[in-house]
Amino acid sequence: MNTQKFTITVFSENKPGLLYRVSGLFLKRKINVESLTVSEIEQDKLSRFTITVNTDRETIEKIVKQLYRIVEVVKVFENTDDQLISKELAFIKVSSKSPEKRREIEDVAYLFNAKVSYVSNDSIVIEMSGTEDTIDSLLSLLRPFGVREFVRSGRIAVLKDDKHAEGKFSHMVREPSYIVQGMDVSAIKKIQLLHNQVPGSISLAQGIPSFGTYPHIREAAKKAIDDGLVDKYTLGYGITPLREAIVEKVRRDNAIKAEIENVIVTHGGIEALMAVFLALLNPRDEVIIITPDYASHITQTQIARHGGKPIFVSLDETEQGWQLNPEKIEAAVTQDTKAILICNPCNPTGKVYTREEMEQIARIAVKYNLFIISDEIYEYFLYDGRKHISFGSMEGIADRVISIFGVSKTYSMTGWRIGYIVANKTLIDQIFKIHDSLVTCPAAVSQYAALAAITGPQDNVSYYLQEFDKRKKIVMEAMKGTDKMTLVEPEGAYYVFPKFITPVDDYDFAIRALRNAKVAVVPGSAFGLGGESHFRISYGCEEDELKEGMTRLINYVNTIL
Amino acid sequence: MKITGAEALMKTLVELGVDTIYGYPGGAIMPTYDALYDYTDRLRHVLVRHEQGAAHAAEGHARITGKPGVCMATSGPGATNLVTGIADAMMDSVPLLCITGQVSQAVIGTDAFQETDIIGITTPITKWNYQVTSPEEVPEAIVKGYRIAMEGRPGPVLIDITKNAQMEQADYVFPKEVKLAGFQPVLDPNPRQIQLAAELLNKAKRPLLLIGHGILIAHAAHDLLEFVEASGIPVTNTLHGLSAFPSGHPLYMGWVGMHGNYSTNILTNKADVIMAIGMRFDDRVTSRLDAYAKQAKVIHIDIDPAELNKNVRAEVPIVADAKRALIELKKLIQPRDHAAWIQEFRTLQKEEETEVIEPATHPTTGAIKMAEVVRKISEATKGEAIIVPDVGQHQMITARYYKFAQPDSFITSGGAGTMGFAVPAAIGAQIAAPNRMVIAIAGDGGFQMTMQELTTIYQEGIPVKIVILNNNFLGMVRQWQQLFYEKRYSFVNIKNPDFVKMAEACYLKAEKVTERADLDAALKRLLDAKESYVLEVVVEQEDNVFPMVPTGAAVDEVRLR
Repeated sequence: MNTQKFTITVFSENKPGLLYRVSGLFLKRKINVESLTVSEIEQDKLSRFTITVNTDRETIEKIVKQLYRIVEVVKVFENTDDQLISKELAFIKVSSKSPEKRREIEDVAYLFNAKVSYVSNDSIVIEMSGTEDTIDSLLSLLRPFGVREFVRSGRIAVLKDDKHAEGKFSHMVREPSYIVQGMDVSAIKKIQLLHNQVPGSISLAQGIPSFGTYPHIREAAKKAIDDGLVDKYTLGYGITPLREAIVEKVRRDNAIKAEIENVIVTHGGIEALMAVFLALLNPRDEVIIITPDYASHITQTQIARHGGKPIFVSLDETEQGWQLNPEKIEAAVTQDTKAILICNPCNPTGKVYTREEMEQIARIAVKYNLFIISDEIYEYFLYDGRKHISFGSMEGIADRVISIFGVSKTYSMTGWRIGYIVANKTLIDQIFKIHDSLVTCPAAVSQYAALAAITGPQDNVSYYLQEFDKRKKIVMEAMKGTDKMTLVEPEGAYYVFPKFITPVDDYDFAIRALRNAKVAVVPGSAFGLGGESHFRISYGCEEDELKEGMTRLINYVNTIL
Repeated sequence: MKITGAEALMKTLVELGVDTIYGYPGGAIMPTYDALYDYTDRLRHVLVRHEQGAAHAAEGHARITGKPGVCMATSGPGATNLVTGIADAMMDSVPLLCITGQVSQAVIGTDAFQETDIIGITTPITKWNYQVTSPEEVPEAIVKGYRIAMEGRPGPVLIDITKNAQMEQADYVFPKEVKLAGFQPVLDPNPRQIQLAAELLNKAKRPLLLIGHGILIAHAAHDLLEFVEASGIPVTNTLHGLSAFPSGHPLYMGWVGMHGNYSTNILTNKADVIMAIGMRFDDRVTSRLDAYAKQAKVIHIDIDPAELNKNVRAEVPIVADAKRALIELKKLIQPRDHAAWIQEFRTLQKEEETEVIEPATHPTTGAIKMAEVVRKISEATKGEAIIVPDVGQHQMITARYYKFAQPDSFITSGGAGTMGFAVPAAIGAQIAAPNRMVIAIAGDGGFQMTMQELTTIYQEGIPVKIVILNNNFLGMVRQWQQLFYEKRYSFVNIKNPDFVKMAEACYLKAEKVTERADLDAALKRLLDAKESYVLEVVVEQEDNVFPMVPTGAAVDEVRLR
């Protein structure tokens, strides 16, 4: 019989006689209980038993089933020591006839971080909490002094990790997944919701371009409706003309050698990303996210990894701008690392990666055999003549790059929800399974609109960029009105990410700014490591609104700091 | 309006649909008996002569109706006399609602007159027990107890009601819903497991169905028949599974266990897939566990998860109600012809027929044999009576030679093996099934353990038939002493009273048969009687039950002599 120590945790209704039924199970099988503690727990009317026994796995399984037969028992799980944090409390009363003895005893206690809880003229009571082993060794060291009384509480234990809690817990069944419960609603959405409740407030929070979708795109959608093209599901991958147009676009603008089989049209960039994460990641796999980064990337990877946290590596914020430190990325790679996620141009920092930085990332990806997930939703919005570079175009790494694009920002089509994934065929086949489960196909009417957008006149894109550039200047100008914040000038996208010169609880700041100054911004902590004490301003909105919003914001900052 | 706890008890029982109570009054239950006085139009009370009889009668009642049998006793000895019946019900999964009076709460713990800790005593042998100390608790405790007794794997429940709780008044509310957080039996099978089971069965070359009491509890006899006919798989059963499948059916192979059939025991160790439903691989079924069905892949369906993998490792364990599991399985099962496999049974059956069955059931010389009496009863009743044997040789003989034609016809104490079971259990069965013939078949030993219930039969006018197979021995023990203790007959000789006079003293009709020539006519008088009838048959003294799997042997080492 291969015995080991098991800790059984039993949750039951708090009723008289339960202890009898529980202990009777062990008695009937002649299993010696090493320790047993019972107490009420935080949930009302439930008791928690912690029982330790030394026995074999098979017996434990039978005991657990028998425990479930007790009507009042709600949940049982059994764990080995490596899955638990456990402790007991012990009091040891030791003889101490002389001050010298007492000092010696106190020295021993000190070694064990034990406490002297009572001293009389001939004895001393030591209080120790710790594992069974440490209590045993303290006891053996104190024995020579003469132990008069010894009492230990028996083990209490909590699980290190919820995944070791097996079995039903009907009180909890009605609650949603603990993974989801543990996640925050995106700070952007939260602020946006609050903004809607504050009349007269201006939102610089959500990243929506103020422009309307161009008329020729709207017309194309109307025509598709009238021609009866949008009544049925389309091909899950997206309609063929759109995929062909995407192939042409990525070959032309991104220098990615894609074929139609490398493309899936998705319900916006967000679905594209979720499908990629779900298709790529096992629960244990790690994704390195270069931060500050788009908040939804973080929650999405948490979902895909069953609650597992992404690995954050922050950029260095310098006077020259946000800079990549490849050594920090390499240091974060473990055997479980599966991918590096990059948003380029970056939301919220406005960072555009240089070719050198991208080559460093590519090198690390090759060295450790990682995927690169490249979110390029802001690909057309780069300032001061910068050129967008796609990872997918880089020599020798095309097969490990998953590129995500969309029409939302480029053509001011956030409501139409069209994005697309470009990746190698093998990955596309797997991603498609998820995509199919999530949405079946993107909305047909939107696909025809996107087709018109990608294949139609592109002059709006340069117009938008010009407008954003103007708005960026408004923001930069306004920022001069305060010395309480520093700002790295954005190189792309339409966000600025200022930083307070002294540490500020950015979440609290965002709430107060909305309430007191009626201007909504997104707290920087929502964007992961490196975002603390920052907030994000989106300058997607109209100039007048932007100006007023900035005035309110700067005045507010100046008054409070 | 406030009513007493005792009246609340009556009202609750009536609302639950209870119509019969088996009981015996006494000090601590007197308020309840007083309330019962006004309820005799709705609740039939059967006054037994000993509380053990009340428990067994309630068991007999429950085995017919499938609903909890209700028995009632006073505190102290009244309650402890129930204990044997409760333990019996626990072993055989019989739903019982036992109500005991208890001394007033004020004197509990003072060793008051007739105070016994019946909660403590019955904890290991009840599915649930509870002490009610105030009248408000009565309805909920009773409803809870009733549900727990009946739902999932049935079992006995004991509710101990203090005298003050019976006498004091409270508002009566019948609880429409009772909260049982930890008690939620799983009824529907996991579809994946059903799929796996069907795949195993559809590929099996020598499949065997091993059915138990669970089929009868789940009222699944009809579904079983349909499944068997759809699949062509041969059927065998446990002692408690008798009558769940028609014994004349071409796919019925006989039963298994220590005194079960020869072919079924041997071929258990040749089957490649065994599907066990509603049975628990008791040691009387498996004999030597490490030599039991090692070659077979086992599918085990039971409503009690604790039974799965308890004794026999199941390849496919399925927690489910037997009926629902069979309905789902039938959808996936393919019809197969197992003629060659069935032929193996037939060959061995012939051996058993010539060696054992024929000589036992059709002797022409010597004393009357037990088997021939049972065979004749079986023929005369066309297998349609409810048979309630006691415990011992005659029980095995009855199980072997009565040819059951319809379900719920065999009521026996299988798990506990309680001598004295037959007469009181037959009383309960007869009351629950007034239109069926109920025949108790007892040995001379067991009959004397509860023969005081003859006066209950007389008082209540219960037309139950009683056959005493008298060999002037405690036959089963004698058989073992003969086979395994070198015929050292230690206290198995029993000097009996005049059973006929005994019955007649209780105003019941009775007769005694000693000659084979008189047997048929006597049996006819017994079966034709409109009222209760006791028939004593003097049988061969040192008759043995065969086949037999000796203790410590494997099932395929079953002996024919």
